Amino acid sequence: METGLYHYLFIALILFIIGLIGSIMCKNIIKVLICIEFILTGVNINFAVFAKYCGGVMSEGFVMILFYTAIGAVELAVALYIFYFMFAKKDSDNICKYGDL
Amino acid sequence: MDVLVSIPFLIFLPMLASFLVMSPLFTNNEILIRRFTKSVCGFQLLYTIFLLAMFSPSNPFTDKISFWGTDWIQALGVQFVFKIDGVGMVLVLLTSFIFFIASIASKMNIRRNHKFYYSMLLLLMSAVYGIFTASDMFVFFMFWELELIPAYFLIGGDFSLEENTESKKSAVKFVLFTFLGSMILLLGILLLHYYNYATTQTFTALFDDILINGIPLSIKLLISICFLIGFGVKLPIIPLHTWLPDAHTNAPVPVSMILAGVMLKTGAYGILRFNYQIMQDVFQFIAPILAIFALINIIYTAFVAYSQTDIKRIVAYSSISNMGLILLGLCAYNKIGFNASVFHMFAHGLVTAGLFMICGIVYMRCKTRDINSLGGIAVKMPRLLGFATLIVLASVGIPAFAPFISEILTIISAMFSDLGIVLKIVSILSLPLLIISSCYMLKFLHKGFMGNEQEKFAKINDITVHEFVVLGSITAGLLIFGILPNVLIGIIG
Amino acid sequence: MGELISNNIYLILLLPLWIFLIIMLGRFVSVYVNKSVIWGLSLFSAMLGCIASLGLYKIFTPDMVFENTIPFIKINDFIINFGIHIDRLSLIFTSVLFIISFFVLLFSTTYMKNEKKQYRFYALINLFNFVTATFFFSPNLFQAYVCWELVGLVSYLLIGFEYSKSEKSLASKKVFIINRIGDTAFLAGIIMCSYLMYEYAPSKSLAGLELFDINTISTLVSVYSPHTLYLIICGLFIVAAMVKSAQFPFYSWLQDAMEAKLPVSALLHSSTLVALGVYLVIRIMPFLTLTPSILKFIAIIGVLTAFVCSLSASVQNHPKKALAYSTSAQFGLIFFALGILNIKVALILFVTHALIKSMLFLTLPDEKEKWNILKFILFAIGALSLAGLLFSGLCAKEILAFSLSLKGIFVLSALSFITSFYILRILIVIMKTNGIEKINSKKIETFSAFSLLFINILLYIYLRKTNSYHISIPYFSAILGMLFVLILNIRNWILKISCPLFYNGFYIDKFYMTIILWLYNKFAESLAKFDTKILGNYKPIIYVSKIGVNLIDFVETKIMNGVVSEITKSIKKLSEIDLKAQNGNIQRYNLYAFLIITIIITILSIAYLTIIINIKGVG
Repeated sequence: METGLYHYLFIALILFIIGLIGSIMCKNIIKVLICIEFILTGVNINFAVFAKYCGGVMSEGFVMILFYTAIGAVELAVALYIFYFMFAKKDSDNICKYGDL
Repeated sequence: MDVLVSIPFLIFLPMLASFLVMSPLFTNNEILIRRFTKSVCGFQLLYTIFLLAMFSPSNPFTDKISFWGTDWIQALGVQFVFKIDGVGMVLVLLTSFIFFIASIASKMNIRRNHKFYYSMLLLLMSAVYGIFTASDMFVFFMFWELELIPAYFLIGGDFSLEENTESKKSAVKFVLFTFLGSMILLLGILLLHYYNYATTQTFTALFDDILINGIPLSIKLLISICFLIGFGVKLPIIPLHTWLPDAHTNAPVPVSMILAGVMLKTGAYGILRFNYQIMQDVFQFIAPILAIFALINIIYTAFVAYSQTDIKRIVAYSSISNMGLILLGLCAYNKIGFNASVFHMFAHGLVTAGLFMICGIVYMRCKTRDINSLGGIAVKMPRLLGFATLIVLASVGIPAFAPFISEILTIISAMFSDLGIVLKIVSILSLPLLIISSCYMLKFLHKGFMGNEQEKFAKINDITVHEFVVLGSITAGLLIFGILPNVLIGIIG
Repeated sequence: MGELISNNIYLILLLPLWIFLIIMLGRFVSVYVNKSVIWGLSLFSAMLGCIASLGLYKIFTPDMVFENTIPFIKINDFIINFGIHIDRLSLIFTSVLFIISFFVLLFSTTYMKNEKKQYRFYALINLFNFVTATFFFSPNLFQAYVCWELVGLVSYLLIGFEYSKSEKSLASKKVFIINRIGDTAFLAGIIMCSYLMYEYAPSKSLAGLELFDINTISTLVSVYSPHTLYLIICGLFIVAAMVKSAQFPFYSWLQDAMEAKLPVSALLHSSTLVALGVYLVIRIMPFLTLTPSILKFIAIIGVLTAFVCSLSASVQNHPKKALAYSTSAQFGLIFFALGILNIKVALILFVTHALIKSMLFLTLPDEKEKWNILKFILFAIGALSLAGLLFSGLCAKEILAFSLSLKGIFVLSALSFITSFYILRILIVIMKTNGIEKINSKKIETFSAFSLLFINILLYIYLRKTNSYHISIPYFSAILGMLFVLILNIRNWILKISCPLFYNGFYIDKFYMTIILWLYNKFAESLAKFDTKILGNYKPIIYVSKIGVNLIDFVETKIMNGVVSEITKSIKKLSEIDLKAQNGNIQRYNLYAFLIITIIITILSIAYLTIIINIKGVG
């Protein structure tokens, strides 16, 4: 079978779901952050797929990928910064203890 | 000038006087208050006699008060109309007389709260005048409700020197009973008003203008029964009479005189106006049943009165018995019965006022109302014995006194009535009243007054001038109307 | 003189009434109303009445009637008249009344001398004169009823004259109540009679109907045939007459009436008050003759009373009681004479009895007093006359015997035997208990008694001249009775005769006092208990109203407030749940946000798609 639209979308979906479930269920901060990156990756792939298969020459999807990657990086940096201070204060890497946020 | 010879003057003058007495501007001096009230009542009596002199049965007085040119409640057809015809004239005369006498008799019996008492007395007087002269259903009902308030205070207030909790209980009982009755009466009035509108398309509440021809029979029956219950609480129809012995026993003497002499007659007057004159055909239909109730009234209470030991209770039960006679006269539904009934209202009012006065005099002197411990006081008070004998004999039905004529005419009218055999049987069965009433009345007289002298009553005085005037005028009235009954019958028309 | 009397008959009749009013009210007004004035006026009125009635009796022929009425009650067509109706019959009765009244008044001027408040006594005697005369002159049944009741009233007031002694006041009460029974019967008869007239009137209206006139009644009834209602009416009138004249079951009141003073007994209860029943029966005669059974009934009652009361009288030890029984017995004989439709004999019997009995009463001694010899002699003559041995008593008995058959004469002789027995026995009993003295005679008292005897003798001569009779068996049986008494006296057995049945009057009085009174008391008490405990029992009402109050309370707290509180509780629970959601768990927030956004977008897209499809489909 030829790889088509739906296969790429399926991968994006799986990545998205892994990231979602992980961000909800994991207790460790770092795991949560990485799962958020997974969500982002899934969304990016989604955009790329649609840009290739449903767009024209100048498709806007690729632009969105760039934007999202940049946003993801920045957001990760900020989150790490906050979580660093929280870790210093709470002395634990369990996200359940970060309720003060 | 025209306002001075009019019915509203009669009604509202005591009301004004009552407010005047109650206001803080009026003096607190007991003697002045009493004299003022006596003069107002005396003036009312003279005014009533003046109206009587100008009265003729074929031309009754009618007065209408209009507020700023309109009737009272124009949307409902209610007008503020008063009218005095034959029946009303007799009863207004009775009211004036009894209130005047009661205000004279209040001298010895009221010891505290004079201002309140006399103002309530005047207010009650005005309310009763309103009942007897109202010619419109809602005006009648207004005055009917108005008389509850002063009556409650008069019965249950603290007017004597000793503590009296029984009077408060009796007053509450009285108000509850009468109030329930008047609620049912209001239901009847509203039903009648509505159905009158439904059949004739005009709103009217005047006694003269209500037509009941088109109303369906079941509704008419319901209205009649509502009226009967409402008035049957006042004219006590057994079994609605249980408030009466307590209220009459525990009230002060002048209040008992007014209650039994005048206010019971308002119930009978209500039945006369509402059932006898307005709901005519239904009344003819239920008259035999009502006659049986009247018979129970007459005979049953006469037996109950025999075994009482409190002299005021005996007199209270005798009042119920006589009201049964009045009801029987109405049930006969003919001219003789009507006249006999109104005559008995007048005669019995006088008799019962006299009897309560005598009980009051005895209680004041001997400090007890128990008939078994009284006795032998006639030796010290022969004048009281004379009056007591005359009034007791009048109540029993001896000729030459007024109640004899009305009793005889009632029984004759029941015999002559066209309403069926029940009334004739009732007329025969009510004849033992002569024997039974003489039994308990003479027991009252003999056990209470005659007999051997007792030491504990060695220091009592004979009756004073005030009491002599009261008892004398009552006896004179009874004798006059017993010997010349045509005077009263001529007024009734 | 006839015109003088008939023009002024009203004044003569009303004079006793005026004197009554003067005495009762004038004492307050003027000091001139003292004893001599009272005596003088009373005697004058009695004398005037006497002269008037005797004079009119001479003028009136047997058919002549004088009638005049004024309306007393007038309601449209219903008229009751008052007035006078004079004929010979009424004049006989009124002359007896006034003669005896005059002499009794004369007697009581000295007898009542020491009594306090004797003015009331004279006033009442005058009132009694007036009322009885009005009764005898009444034109219709209604006025007769009015005067009947008033006579009972005056008798009550006179018997209870000394109200400070309880046995006398109780006796007067008892007399009044028993008389009331007769009044009730009378009134019932009148009412049913008038109803009968009303029903059988030519037009069924009250116009022009003399409702209580006896002649009209009898003419109407004779036109329509009688039925049971009519028998009942007759029976009621007879019962009324029986009560008033102390006949068979109702004679006990006369014993209690003897508690009164001596003049009262002489006037009222021996001659005049008890005569009202006789007068009534005579007036109703045209009514009663239509049924012979009623007449037989009257005769039987008369004979029965005569026997019963004579037997009771023969064992009494108290003179007044014996004389009271004797009155009943003699009136029984009068009723018997009426029953056999011999009115003339009945009237003769009545007049002679009245004169003799009042004289007997006037000559009685007081309780502890010694008997004056003049009075003793007068009593003895009166006793013999009553027994039928002397003077007018003799005449009366013999005239009666003249008209009887053999059976009747036998009955009459038995009665005469017992009569003479008891009257002579009581004479001897008084002699033995009181003793006789010769001095201290009160002249006026003996004079009045003597004048009654004198009138008795005059009557005897008059009767002897006008009637024929011959001495027959009753005379001899009376003599036998007298001899019997004398024999018993010699043997000293007089005072020892006793028989409880006779002594207590065949227990009629005891029956009334114990059984009927007890029943009445019990019935009245049970009704009173019913009234206060059952009708006046507010416990059910309070119980019902408590239930109502509880119900309303329940509705108020549980339902109305309850709904509100349930709402608040659920909102509180919701807020608790909500509070739990705010626990600071980021992941939870994440999850909720994702879920809700997914749902919203799904719904939006589905809606968008359906709209597009619909538009596409429509288009």
